Amino acid sequence: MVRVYTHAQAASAVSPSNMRNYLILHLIWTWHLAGAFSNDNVPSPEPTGTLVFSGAIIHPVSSESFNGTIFVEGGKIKKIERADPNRQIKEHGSLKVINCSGKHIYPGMIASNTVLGLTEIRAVRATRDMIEPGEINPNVRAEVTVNPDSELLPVTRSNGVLHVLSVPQSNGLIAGQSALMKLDGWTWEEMTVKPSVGMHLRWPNVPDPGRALNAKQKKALKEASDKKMLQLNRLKESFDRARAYLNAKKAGDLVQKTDLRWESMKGVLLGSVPIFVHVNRLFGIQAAVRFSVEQRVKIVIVGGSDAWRAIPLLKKHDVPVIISPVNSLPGRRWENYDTAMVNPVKLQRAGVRFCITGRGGSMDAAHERNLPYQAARAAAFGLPKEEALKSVTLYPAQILGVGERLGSLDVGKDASFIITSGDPLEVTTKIFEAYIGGRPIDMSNKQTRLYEKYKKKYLQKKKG
Amino acid sequence: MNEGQIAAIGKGLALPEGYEEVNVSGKHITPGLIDCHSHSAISRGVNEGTHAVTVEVRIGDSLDPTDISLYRQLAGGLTTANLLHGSANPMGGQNQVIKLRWGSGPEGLRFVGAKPGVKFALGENVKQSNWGDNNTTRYPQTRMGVEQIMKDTFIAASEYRKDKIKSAKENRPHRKNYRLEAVLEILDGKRIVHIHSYRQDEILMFVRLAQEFGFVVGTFQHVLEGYKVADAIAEIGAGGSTFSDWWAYKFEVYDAIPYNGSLMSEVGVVTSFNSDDSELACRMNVEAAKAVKYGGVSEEEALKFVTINPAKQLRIDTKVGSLEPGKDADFVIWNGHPLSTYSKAEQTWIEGIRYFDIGTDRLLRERAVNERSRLVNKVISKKIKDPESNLNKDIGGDSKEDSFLLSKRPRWLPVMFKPCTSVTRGLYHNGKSLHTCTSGKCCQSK
Repeated sequence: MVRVYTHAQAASAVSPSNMRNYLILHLIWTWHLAGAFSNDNVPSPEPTGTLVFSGAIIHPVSSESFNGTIFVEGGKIKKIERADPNRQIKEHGSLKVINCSGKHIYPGMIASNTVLGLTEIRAVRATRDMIEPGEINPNVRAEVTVNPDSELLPVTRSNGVLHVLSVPQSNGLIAGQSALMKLDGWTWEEMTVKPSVGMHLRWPNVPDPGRALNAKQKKALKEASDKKMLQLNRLKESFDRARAYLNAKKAGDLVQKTDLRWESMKGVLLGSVPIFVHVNRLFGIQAAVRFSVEQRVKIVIVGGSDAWRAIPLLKKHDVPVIISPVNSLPGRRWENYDTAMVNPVKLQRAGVRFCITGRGGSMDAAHERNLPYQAARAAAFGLPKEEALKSVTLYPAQILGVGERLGSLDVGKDASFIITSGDPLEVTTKIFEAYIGGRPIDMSNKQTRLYEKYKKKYLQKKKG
Repeated sequence: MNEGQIAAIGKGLALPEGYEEVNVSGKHITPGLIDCHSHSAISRGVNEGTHAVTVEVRIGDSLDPTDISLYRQLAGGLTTANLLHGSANPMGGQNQVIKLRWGSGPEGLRFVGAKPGVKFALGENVKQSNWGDNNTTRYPQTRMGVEQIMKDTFIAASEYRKDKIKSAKENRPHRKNYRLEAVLEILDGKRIVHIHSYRQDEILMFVRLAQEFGFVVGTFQHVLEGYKVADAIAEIGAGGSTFSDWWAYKFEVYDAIPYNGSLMSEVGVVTSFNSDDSELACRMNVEAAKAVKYGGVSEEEALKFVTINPAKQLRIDTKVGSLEPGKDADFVIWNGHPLSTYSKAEQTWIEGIRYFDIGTDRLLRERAVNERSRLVNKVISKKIKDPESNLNKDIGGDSKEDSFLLSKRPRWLPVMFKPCTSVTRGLYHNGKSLHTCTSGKCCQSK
């Protein structure tokens, strides 16, 4: 707090005669700011030897739960054994046993639409790094701005959310490329599990025609629709230009100057990077899928509150949906109160690939730890519990293209899991420990430290 | 229950004559949930943000009983809400406690007998910190100014009273000042203050202000640093109405912790969790569970965070907030443990009337679907044929139910189906209503 007052002093000192003082103070402020917005948690060293997690109730997610033991080596799951009462694993040399009897092991959860790492405090402009101006920004990539010392990250992971997709935002069309980050590491490079998971695109929205009641509203509607047409043309044009550019480059056109935007769309046009289209309304979903078919690019729908209305279309083109979020009021007044909550079960029953995540807006970065309760709400409204668990573990891993590495407890996958008192989708469950790539995670965070500090205040008062 | 009140509660009660039995075996029943900070059902204008002091305005004058979020919150077990003025100015407007009597008029929403209150606010919102670079001249712009303007208003009200008494004595006419009259109600303890606050410095400042002027603080709202000065809050007997786990959306909430509720509660502050959000208000039972998770509050105490505790804060605990004989029959029937994320409300009752029932809801849906398709068919079957309506088939079929919605015609064009049977209008209407259409091309009389 004292550091903040430094800034207040600096601001009041801005007069020409004080300019030099101001600059000095400003430097001090900047330095202090770095201190004020960074967490104290120390990442663990690279794991060596073998870690044995014994006696736990293991929930692989990819198969039925059972009592057993997990062996971890080199950050990967080496072996999983069913419990054998006759076998006692003893510590020796580099083999360490972690007794988990009575506890549960689940894979770490994955939040598949967040701005974590891209912002610290939404209302403080200096801490916002998620939106570039302009409509076409395919080349900006999220991972380079992820702050490993963000206080938000230890809070998120302490509730079992161990991986997050950091997604650039946009006021225009193409926002940039997202990256899958593990919430552990000294630098963004160490944290990056997969760069360019998707190129994110905000589908232009137009207000409901039913709401245009008077001339003024109709005019606004007309303007919005005109703007949408322009934007869609611009979107199509950008894909055409990227394609032409890459063809020209390939043909060895020396006149062609480097354009980072079109360079960065190579993966998309070759089909290795999907477009993640952020869209909720039915017409937007239809138009976006049509666009992806025309452009012959892979597509993932993000948001998708109307996805259940487009099931045949999504099935036909095998379009996965990142439902973002479940805890939401219906988009239209006349819709059923549980419209958003039954969206997942409708997709699941129809066989549309889906996963569940939070809203992913700038207000939500600090609250991504509540990811499991989004899935639980879907379960309260009909999604089978096992499916709900998969929708925040295995399914996001698959949709984000890391299904071979993350999302379930299987041999060969990353040792990224949580040790709990029970079902992590229940609020009252305790998350005791977490491991990311075999590295134990410091479960404390800014909030637990403040809690410990102020508990002391009242203990002192009692004694005094 | 009898005549809207709980008549008796217990095991093995005999069914008295004239009573009807409702079988809910295997279900959980809790008191109706209470949200101590809501802006639902307010018809436009949560904030009278023009002046720093607007104590005369009343949320109760702008109730919107048709706000659909009332029904959605009933479906989440909510029965009572404290509708508060916004936090755009230090001394905002008067609140309105309501019961979620969906289907009633605005008067029918009011919680009769609830203690009148007023919303005040401190910190970043009232000093316009996050309003952009143009809002830098309205006083106050600092927490220092916030304290002074409040002090100034309370003193002005006291002096206004003296003047009024003097005028009466001297038989002089006296112009009534509605703003200061409302402030006098606060000073006289007839109206309690709900103070939007975040940081410990401003919370402590307001505690001292309350002590200096002797007014009653019903709740500190949000109060995310309440855990830092919980002893001071307890000292004046004020409640703490906080978020379960929100933080980091502005600078003044960077030190917010989810242990706030449990810490305040331990130090002796009557604590509740609120929503401040129409969606969150639909799942306050799960919010309560977070008091168990963070700080180890017992399940029974945690449930109080969304039932009897907010009732105490609003001074309505003799009527609602717990299930006891003589209290209003406001309760929720859950299909599972009320603190479980997997549970949902099946019935919500207010004063012995069932306002939400999951079975009835299903029937109403069917009725709405049938009525909708009847109307849609009536409109499209004969009069309007949209040649483009099948265009989506080339990329995948769409459900029959939504064929109307799936038309490829640009949906943003205004569509006006006027009940004008003698006129058929073409697809590219000029946008005016049928009666005034002048294009001459699209409207043909039969």
